[in-house]
Amino acid sequence: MTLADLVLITKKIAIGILIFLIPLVIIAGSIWLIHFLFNQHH
Amino acid sequence: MTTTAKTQTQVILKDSLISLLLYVLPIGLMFLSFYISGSKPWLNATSEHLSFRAPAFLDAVFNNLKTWGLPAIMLVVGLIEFSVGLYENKWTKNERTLDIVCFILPKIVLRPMIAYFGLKLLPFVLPDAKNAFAWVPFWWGIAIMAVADDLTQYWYHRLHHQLPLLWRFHRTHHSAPYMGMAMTSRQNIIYTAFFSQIYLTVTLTYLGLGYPALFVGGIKSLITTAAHSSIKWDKPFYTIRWLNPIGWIMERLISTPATHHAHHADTTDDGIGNYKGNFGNMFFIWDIIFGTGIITRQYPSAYGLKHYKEEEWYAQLLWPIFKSKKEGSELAHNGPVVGDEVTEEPVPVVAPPVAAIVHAEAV
Repeated sequence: MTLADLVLITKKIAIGILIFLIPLVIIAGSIWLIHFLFNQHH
Repeated sequence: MTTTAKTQTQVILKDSLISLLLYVLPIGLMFLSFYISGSKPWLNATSEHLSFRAPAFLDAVFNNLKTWGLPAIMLVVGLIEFSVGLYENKWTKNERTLDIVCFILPKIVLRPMIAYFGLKLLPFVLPDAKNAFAWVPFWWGIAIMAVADDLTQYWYHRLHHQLPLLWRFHRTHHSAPYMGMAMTSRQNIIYTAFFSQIYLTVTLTYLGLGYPALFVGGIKSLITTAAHSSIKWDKPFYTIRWLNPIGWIMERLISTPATHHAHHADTTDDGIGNYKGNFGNMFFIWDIIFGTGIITRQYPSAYGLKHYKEEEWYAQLLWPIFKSKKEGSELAHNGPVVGDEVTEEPVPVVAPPVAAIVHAEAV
């Protein structure tokens, strides 16, 4: 395994983390935010 | 950056913005239903009974499906496929070893490890968030989890085809020159270890959506396994007249052998194969929404990769930790990034090294 391979794996993991974090923030954030707003108005 | 690459990047960005709306859609609909019905399920949650419990029989079915149930189904279907000669003479020792290792390793080592360490680590990262969404009604939880898990897998899968730097991590799944139970789990270990949707599902389970996750996981496993099967169980839906309307909806909603086999075809020249699309795993609807799907109701005549060099099973499993010794292979040291895009020059008397020309649009 070369340094280029390590860089490639790092890039691959970084993309994977983005694909995991973006939906997580959107889903958890939406449930929390709408729940919060819902309680504020009711 | 070439024009094609720029266009592709713009398409990916546009589609990912649409995806953000799709992730929020079931959540918005859930709160809309609360608004209309006047219900507030979070008020009923107590410390003794935070999470919704699925009926006991559902719990048993899906628990078993995720442990020994699905492997048992795969083994039985695989035996039927094998006994009627569906693998013909393509299941060589090398392919067989790779398929079996890929079948066993993620199930008994990787996925349990990710789930175990994920649920051990999360209390430290999100200490106050455990079961925060346990009040979400079971069926709404299923809608949220189904979109969360499968749309995330759609993107993970699509980017491994459309970003050249990721292609070789997914190549192993496409190198099988056959369809069937044997190749369903066939993946490079790094591709499997960093499956984004597994981490998303583990985190949402920690947040209280465990039962919906279990249910969705079970259904998804059945659909994706059935879509990889060499038994063309969907054919009657296209050929029997009264089943046509069901077939029309089914092929747009979920992955079927026809649409998923097209994704594993070795060519797009016949108008049936679509290895540059049909990325959906459980749901095919993502391909319909993003315009990456083709529905022909036909099955490719050949599967795999045109440039497959029958690389060693360990190289396919563990690349780039171990490389292939096959000259010109994508998995070899200094091999092309995307073999499909290599321009092969006519061979002169003294052949120069074949240049690997990689375009942004990968396999």
